[in-house]
Amino acid sequence: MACHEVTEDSKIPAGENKILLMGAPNVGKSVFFSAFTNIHVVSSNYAGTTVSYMKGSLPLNGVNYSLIDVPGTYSLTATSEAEEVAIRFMSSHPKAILLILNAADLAGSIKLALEVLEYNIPVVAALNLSDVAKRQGKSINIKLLEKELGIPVIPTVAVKNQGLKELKEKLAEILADNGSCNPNAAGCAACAGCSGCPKGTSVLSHWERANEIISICVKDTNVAPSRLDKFGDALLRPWPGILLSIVVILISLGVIVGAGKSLESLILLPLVEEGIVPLFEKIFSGIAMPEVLYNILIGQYGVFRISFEWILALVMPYVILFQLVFSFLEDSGILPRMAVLFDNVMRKLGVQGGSIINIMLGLGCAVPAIISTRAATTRKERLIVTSIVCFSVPCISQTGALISLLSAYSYWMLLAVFLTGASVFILISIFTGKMLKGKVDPLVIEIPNLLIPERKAYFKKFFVRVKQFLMEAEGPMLIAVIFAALLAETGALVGISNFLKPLVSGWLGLPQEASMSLILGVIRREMSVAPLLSMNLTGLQMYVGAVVSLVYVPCLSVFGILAKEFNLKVALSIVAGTVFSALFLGGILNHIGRFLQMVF
Amino acid sequence: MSENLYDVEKGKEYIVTETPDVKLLSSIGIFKGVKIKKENTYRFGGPVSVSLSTRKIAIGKDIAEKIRVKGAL
Repeated sequence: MACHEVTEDSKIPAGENKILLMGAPNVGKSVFFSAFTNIHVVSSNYAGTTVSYMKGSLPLNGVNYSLIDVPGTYSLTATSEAEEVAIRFMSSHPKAILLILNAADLAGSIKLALEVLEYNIPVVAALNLSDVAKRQGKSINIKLLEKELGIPVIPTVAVKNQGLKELKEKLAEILADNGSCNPNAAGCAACAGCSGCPKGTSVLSHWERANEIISICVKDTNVAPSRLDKFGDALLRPWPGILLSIVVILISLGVIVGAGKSLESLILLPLVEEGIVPLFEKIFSGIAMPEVLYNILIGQYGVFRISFEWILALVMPYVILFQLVFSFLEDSGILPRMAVLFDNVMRKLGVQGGSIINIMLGLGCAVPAIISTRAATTRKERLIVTSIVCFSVPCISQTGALISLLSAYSYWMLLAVFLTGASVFILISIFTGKMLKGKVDPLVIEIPNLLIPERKAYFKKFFVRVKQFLMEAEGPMLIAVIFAALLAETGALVGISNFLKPLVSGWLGLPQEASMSLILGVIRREMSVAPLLSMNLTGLQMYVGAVVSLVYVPCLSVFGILAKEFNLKVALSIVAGTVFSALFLGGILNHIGRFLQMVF
Repeated sequence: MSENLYDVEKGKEYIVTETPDVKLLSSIGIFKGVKIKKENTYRFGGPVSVSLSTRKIAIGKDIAEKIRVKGAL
């Protein structure tokens, strides 16, 4: 007999053989999901990486089950969108639940387990992060834990692939037992006696019971905190945490800019300019064709020249290095610590510390950053963070192009553009905060243990990210490049440039051909910077051009995701807002710059 | 005597006596009667960090000020 009123739900897949993968945020569900279904979900060491659910197939005992990666929940009391989704899944007749417990946060995990058990669905539990618990001197008696919970518990270290095979076997076993009610489950026994179903059980009694179970099953040997845990604590204290965070950020930047620049100028550019381009020049000059076609292929803006120069030499090194560095930061648990340390600053800007994680994602690409704002508790917060990302946070492709453009002139110029971007960041968050109705909830965040990313998982994530970039960005980049070649080499650009001359040359003070930036910038962010590279700009022109392209339209994919995640009105407002403010700000800076040049 | 979590001394243990109506608090582990240790207060409007039995969390100032605690014996 089922304990719960079950209502059909249109938003939940109706498939017959569902197995739910559940657990608290940041317990590693996504790692289990990837391992069991071979679908790679990116996981990180902070709460809320999986903001919507994923589904994959998992054959067991010759039956095809679908494994569902349910968003992480601390409880089943519908305190957030993610928990509502989880509750709906629980009520949709799943065959079994694969519950992931966090060995390093056993109290919270057991409390969630007790809530899950009330639903009277067969459960197998994995005791994940058992290595971290061991490091902290906790010895957990699995046999006793199984007895207290009434469900099988398998210790695992998912990122190292430990215990996964046993877990799968156990899952197959309880599914083979068949029968909606597993006689081993304490939930069933408890259910027979429960009078008014789980609603009656208070949160407190679950916590009390969880702590009781812990006192039975866990022995705390007093080990000295490991160096990693000590470092994790130090990173969390205002002193020396803030200093350490700044050092971490500077080192990250140094690695990305320094190594990226070396890769670009020492290896990739020479390869393109002395190897690839001459090769294609030779090939194409050997074939008889009209001059226009030749120019489109390999002229100054020829497809085979700029696609290699711009994409391979200017963008790729930075994308690769960013993913190397950022994946490490994500997996280590440093980011939530920064969210705590800088909450006071973010709060003054009208958001909360957790938004730092979304914004940092935006330094890679705005699309995942905007998707990640789903975890925000209010729409206002989502919109503010999204605006910040669209107006003032360059994606890594664009950053790469900006570094190439500006560092050729001076690293100070890079700093000047960075500071201008930071000012736009502050202005836009204050402005949207004042404009939008509603409120932003204060920070409530779990601070995970500091981890050294596991090598295999880390590299897998890195490769998935770079592959994703190639698959998603390559197409639009090539379209932009072909578009550029056609515009420049057919003479169409001259007409457009003449038309835009008052704006581009008069107001912004840039060469006429810079209108190319404004056109290509709609397609991809870095494409608004790339054309400026070969224009022999003055310092002021470079600065103005960089600022315009930074604030300018955040690319077609972002437009698409804005329309999808919010609506067309939001997408159009952001595009209109970015175009207007980019041109407005660029013009003002140009005129101020000229005025200063005149005076001094 | 109860005081608010934001202002109490750090490094000590407290029992929560009253929480504001923020649902996430109880599911993450802050509710009436629970024992917590205050770890840090972050100045200039920053949050507080506390540890529960096995978990560390940070709570923004605006919520922490509304959480009442009394010293644990």
